[in-house]
Amino acid sequence: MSEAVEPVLEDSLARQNRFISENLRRIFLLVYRMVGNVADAQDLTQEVFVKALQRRDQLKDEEKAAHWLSRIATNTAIDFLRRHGRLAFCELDDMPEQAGSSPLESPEARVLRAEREAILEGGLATLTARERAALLLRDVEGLPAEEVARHMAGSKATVRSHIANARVKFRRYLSRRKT
Amino acid sequence: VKHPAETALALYAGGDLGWWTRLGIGRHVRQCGPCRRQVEEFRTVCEMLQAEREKLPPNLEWSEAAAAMRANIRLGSLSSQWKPLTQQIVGIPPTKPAREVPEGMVLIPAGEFRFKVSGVEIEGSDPGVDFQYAWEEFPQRRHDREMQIPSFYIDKYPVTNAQFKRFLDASGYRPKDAYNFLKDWKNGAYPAGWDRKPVTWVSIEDARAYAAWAGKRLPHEWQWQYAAQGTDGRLYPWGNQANAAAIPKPENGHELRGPTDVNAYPGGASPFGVMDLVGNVWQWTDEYVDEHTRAAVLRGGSYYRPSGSNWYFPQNTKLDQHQKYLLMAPCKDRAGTLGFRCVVDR
Repeated sequence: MSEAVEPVLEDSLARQNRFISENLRRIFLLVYRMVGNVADAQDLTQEVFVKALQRRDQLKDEEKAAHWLSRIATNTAIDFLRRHGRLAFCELDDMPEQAGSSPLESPEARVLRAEREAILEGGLATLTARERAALLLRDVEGLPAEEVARHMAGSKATVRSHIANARVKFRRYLSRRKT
Repeated sequence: VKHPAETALALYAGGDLGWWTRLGIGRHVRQCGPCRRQVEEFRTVCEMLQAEREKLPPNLEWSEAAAAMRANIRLGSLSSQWKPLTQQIVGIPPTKPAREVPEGMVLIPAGEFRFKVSGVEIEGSDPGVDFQYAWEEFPQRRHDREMQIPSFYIDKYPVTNAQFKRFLDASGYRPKDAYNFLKDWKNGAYPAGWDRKPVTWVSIEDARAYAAWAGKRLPHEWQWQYAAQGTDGRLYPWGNQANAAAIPKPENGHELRGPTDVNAYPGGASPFGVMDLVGNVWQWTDEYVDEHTRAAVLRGGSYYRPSGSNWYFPQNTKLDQHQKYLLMAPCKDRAGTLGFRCVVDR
């Protein structure tokens, strides 16, 4: 119960909590879009933050830390997808219809939303892990290609080719669905 | 006409090309219907993905999921390195010195005492277990120290129900957290015939309140042990051999039968004539704190002997052993097998 230690401890805890709060949703969504299901996304998100918090020295500059965190998230998700192969996107079918649905959402809106989700997951499922990561960082996160390359520790040319291939596959998936 | 590659159109649609290439493809697309349609379709893909940016998965209760993740992240970030937490004793202010032996107390003369004690049921012997005395660098299971103990007075018997009732009547003491307080009393009175039984179902805070009212205090552990053991290192107050006739019969049923009158076993007297030290009720002594927890040293050992596993709070009557009792809150700390006795300084 040393009084002198407590303020410092609290300060770093508070900083850590803020860092988690500010980035949790973004990182979770990034990972979720990569792996395609909530349970794995939650586990991996936790893993990402635990990895990040082990290197507290990297957290001093908040902006850099956020980028660095996305990079850890992308790599963690890619590793996961490599280990497990392509994932089946079973969640939409398996989830009970009522669970968690907003009472304000009409049945029609719910169907539309489910359909949109299904299209999205189906399209992402046609991509390789690196294509998916590149596409999500570029089009969902809105990072410029140079930035995506930095995240994925690849050259800009390679990343652009991933992005292009991903959009091509996705577009083909959409037109297949239409026919 | 040479059409751009599909991948080039995909990059063009997302604005991912350098200005020169973009210019060339733009010129072509404006004139070529099929390529324009492709670009529009690529833009649909990009927009569809952009629209997902803030959208949560269906059927996800975000606040719950976020709380769970936050908790797990915090747990996962704790160090797995073993490090003993240091402890500090909670100080006990001296009482007003007494010139003569107070009523119901016994004079314990000053003496050289070898304070040798260890935890009864403490997991392992790693640094960090049991207690850390002021002269030790970290908590440890076994303790051995030569001490000069100044003289003091100690209650001849544990504090009884009758004595505790007098305290309540005189002081109006009511604990803030009263759950389990004097649990075996009814409507503010102990059961008939229980006046000489040691008071139980009192927290360390209740015991301190009584002591303060009586002009006394709780004993330090070494004072309790010295009063029980004298200077020859004996294992029991009466000598070195266990003696079932000197203590109440052990009990291991599912109901507590209640403690025995404090003067029922004169054969249990210590070399100084202090009575009812072991085998009737555990007795509150010192408290230690570390960064996370509080624990009290219990001495004496009650009549209750749990059967089954030794990991239950085991009965103990030996004077070279103590128990560590994790303190949670008065309501949880009170027990039917736990009472106390007091000391007064000279």
